[in-house]
Amino acid sequence: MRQLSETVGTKVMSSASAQRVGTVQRALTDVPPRRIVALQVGRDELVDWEAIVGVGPDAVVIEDERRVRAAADAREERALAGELDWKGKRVLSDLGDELGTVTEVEFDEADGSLHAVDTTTGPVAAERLHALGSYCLVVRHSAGDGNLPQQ
Amino acid sequence: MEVAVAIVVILAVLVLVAVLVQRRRRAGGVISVETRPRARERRGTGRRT
Amino acid sequence: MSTRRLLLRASDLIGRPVVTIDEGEDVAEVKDVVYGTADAAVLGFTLNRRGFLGGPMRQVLAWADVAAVGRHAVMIATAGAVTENDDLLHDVRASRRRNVLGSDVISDAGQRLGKVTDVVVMVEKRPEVVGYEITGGDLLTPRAGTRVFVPVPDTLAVSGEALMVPAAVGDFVTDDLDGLGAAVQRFRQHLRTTS
Repeated sequence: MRQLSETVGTKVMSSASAQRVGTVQRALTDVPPRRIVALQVGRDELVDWEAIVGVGPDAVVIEDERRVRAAADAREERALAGELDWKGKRVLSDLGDELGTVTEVEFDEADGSLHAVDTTTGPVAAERLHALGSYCLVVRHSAGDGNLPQQ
Repeated sequence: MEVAVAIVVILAVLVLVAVLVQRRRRAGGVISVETRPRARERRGTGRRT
Repeated sequence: MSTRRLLLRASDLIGRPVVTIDEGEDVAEVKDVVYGTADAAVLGFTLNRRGFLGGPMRQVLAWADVAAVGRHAVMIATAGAVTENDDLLHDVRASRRRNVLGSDVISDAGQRLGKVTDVVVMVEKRPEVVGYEITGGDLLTPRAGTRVFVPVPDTLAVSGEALMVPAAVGDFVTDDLDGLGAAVQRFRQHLRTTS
């Protein structure tokens, strides 16, 4: 299990040429299916998760620098603009209660699946993640939500 | 010099008016609607514009 | 929809974001809370666009299209829930001057009890108006200008000008929001036993 904030900032290497192709800027995710689908490795450059060979503490290794590509659709462009960033995102339950903001995302480096999201009010399991938008992260409510102080 | 001051004052007044108009347009309330249990079903005259 | 019970002030609902559950986007915010006089049920909301420059929207949000009303947002399944709902739009147009906020509260004994300064909405299965926050004269409280909550009878007369309440309502005035829920139940019981 790896934390997203630790992976952001690590260098991205090509296993084909041993050249550095960039630095991890942010992860592009889909909620659902609650996994990392690509990494941003340069100003307008992406690498699909399928092209990633390994995610380690010192580098992210991709197959080949030819797998680096530009944004292909509107959602990817919004993600590159930072609209769909996790850190600091407001967390809202599907009942309309705010549950703090996102502080960290844990993911499985083997397949890119999201494991859990840490928030200012505690961890949220990936199964509860419902949608990520520019306004908020929507999570399924749980029995514990009601204990939060009312605003 | 006086012209510049006058322009600034006029602009400030325009901005103030725009802010007040916008506040008024956005102001919300609680609207009570006269509903009678069967009255709602009788209606249905379609789309009004 | 959960079965929890929330007491909210209408003034807290006004300006609250309307958020899509499927995309996590704030597509609008609440402008007016619209409710019916027959059963005090909330019929829906009129909307403003988000942001300071966003004015009133043509579309409205009918209660049937609301997924949840929470402490911080009104949730809808998809952006398609915000529509030009004919029924609700007709009600709103026919009731333009019927904003309850600021109305006089007059008892059926002909006494002016105060002014409506807020409306209390109870969200359970569907939201209904259960009480009014009144800034009263000295008929309500020893000290004029104090805010109190007056529970709503099951039937009431309300117009853009005044809110009529039975004289008996004075016995059930409560000065805190939490006490209002219990007072509403007592008041309804009282009406049932005396009618």
